[in-house]
Amino acid sequence: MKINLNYPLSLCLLLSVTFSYAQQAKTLMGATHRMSVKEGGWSDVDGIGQDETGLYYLLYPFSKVYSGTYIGNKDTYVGKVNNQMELERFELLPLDYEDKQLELEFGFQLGGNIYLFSSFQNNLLKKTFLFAQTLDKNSLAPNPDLVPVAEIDYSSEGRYKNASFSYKLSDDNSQVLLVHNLLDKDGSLLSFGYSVIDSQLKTIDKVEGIALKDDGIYSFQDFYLSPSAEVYMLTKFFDEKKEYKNSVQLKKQGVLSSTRSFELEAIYDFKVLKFSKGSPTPKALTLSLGDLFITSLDLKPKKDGGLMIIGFYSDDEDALADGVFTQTVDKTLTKILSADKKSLEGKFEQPSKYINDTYVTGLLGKRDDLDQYRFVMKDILQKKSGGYVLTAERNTTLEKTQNDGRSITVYNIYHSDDIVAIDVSAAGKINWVNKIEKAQETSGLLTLYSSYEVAEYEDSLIFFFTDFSSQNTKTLGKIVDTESVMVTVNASGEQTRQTLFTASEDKITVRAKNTYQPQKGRCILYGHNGQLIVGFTEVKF
Amino acid sequence: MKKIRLTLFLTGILTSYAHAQSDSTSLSYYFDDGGISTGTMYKTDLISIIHGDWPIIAEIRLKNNLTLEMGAGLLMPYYVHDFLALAFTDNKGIQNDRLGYSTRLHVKWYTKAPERNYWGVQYYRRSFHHVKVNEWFFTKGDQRIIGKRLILDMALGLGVRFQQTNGPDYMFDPDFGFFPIMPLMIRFGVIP
Repeated sequence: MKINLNYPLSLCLLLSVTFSYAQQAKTLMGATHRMSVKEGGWSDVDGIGQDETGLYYLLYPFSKVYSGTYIGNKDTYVGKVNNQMELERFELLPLDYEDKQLELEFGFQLGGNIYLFSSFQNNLLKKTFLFAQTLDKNSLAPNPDLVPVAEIDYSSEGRYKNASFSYKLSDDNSQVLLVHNLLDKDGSLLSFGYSVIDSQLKTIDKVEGIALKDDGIYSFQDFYLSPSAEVYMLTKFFDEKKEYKNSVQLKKQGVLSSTRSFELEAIYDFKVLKFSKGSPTPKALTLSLGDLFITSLDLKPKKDGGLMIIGFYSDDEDALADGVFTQTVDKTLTKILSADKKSLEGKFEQPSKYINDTYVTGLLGKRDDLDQYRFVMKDILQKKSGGYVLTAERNTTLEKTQNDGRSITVYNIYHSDDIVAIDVSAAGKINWVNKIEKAQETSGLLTLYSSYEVAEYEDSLIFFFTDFSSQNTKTLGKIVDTESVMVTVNASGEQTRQTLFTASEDKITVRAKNTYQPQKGRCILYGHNGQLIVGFTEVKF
Repeated sequence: MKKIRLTLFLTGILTSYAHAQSDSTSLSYYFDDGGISTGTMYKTDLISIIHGDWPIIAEIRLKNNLTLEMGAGLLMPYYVHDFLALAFTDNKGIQNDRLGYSTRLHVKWYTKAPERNYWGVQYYRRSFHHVKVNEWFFTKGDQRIIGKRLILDMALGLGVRFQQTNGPDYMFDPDFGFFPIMPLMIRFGVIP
């Protein structure tokens, strides 16, 4: 048999087998599909769009997922999962123009089209360009409608620096904010700019080459797009460069890291900058809680203008959260319209499962190692009722040394444990703060299976994640015992926990991948077992 | 909380409502980099020159992240032994007073195209008039584009060397060696 090594996934053997799942949750589970792939296939997927016939994914190789050096397949594929959960088709994604190859940045659905965004570094012009093109949903090939939508000019930097693109969709999916950054070797911003474009790729607003300079250093946190196309930026500001560099080092070590909330000392302030269409000068607001220290926060532009801010505070000189707070700010960033706060009452001082001595025995992390933690947040969810929800998970990264007598190995252990959910009314009052118990101690490949997904269904929040038992990390990444869980939290904050299925060594461990379909009342879970088995399964509510 | 002064310098702010793509600008403008991303690079190796080998090396792109270096060099009538090899062994070096030639092949896998870090495997052969030296080694390097068309490529290798005396000299000085090496490479080049 002739084997085409350029297309390793063509060796896939499709197996129609079902997930093994727990008896009590059978009614939740819809169609499942599972397949084996040759080693060297993709390591992760991202949903980029959906229609009535199925869901569309980008299938990433390891080199896209891991931050470290990886020698191997760098090809990205596009796949379609039909309503029977079958990976109906997947195709190599060629991104090129004549003899020039483009680098895939991201893809998403805007209006009725699925757009693929890719970049090209032109060393003659000293610019990195971002292009958009539509995806043909039938052939899964990019259409030849390449359009430049953004650029990064690094001509003033002497030589190439790291160009970085990111995006944020508007809540109604009609506009997108494209952010482009130029980073130095420490990961700090040299310059940034943004474009706001509509679903026809028409530019609504555009700002280039903004440089922040001060005695201290800004740490970029996130950009936000309001319904009226105003752009906000959240920054963390350090006046001590040395401390900031320490925080950058932490960022580089964390596979699970976001750009938010990595410092464990009270050495920074949060500043919000607002860029208005047609105005070259942003307004700035330094957030304050009086004597309390703001450890981390997220914000959401409100439909009626202004901001909803939800975050965590510390009541002493460290950056460990003691409570949660909200503030609503008017659209001129001059008035605090409402404020509220609530203590966490020590509920997150240790991961819940670690209270149990039996559970601790098998794990690599020691209880004391977990005293220092941070909350890694997801974007604030705006509820249909008009309220808001911020969710975050308790996170710690530990460095461990293993000495087997012949060699010494230093590796990281990642803890993504309990989830905090903060429900806030439209007026900014904290309705409830909930803890959802989760235990994810991971290292190596297993880290890809941690974290969680959250969606709003009717008046409830639905969380998906995989709990790892104490037997997992002893094998350093080999999955031996997991439990995939769905937790429902109703409008009053009451929790219902259901096991979707359990998986032993030869079964798939799921990762929810942002493929919630509210119109169908279902969520599609993506599963993976090492590099060999992948699958999709449906959960009906 | 310490009050922190915010000074925000905005440089080159351009606000416009123009369409994302200027109608008058064709796509070729964005991709015309004078062949820098696709062209063949030509280099020489400073460390090789110190050791008596004057090479010309061409690096061609096979894929976006995969390149092949092919080089040929002239062995000059002098030889400076590499100190790292001496550190590993009691090899006494090569006495060379004639011309010779060298060849090399180097497959490089860039972790980020088209420059920066790479991993590679190199075969390097030097044919002195009385000794053949073959080396195989893995490389870890960093290649930078300086300005628009100048190349600086620095790498460290780890591998093995096979060294064998040829012809009549073998009768008088049988020198067969097999030992580890850790070669350093510093290469300058240009993208024409």
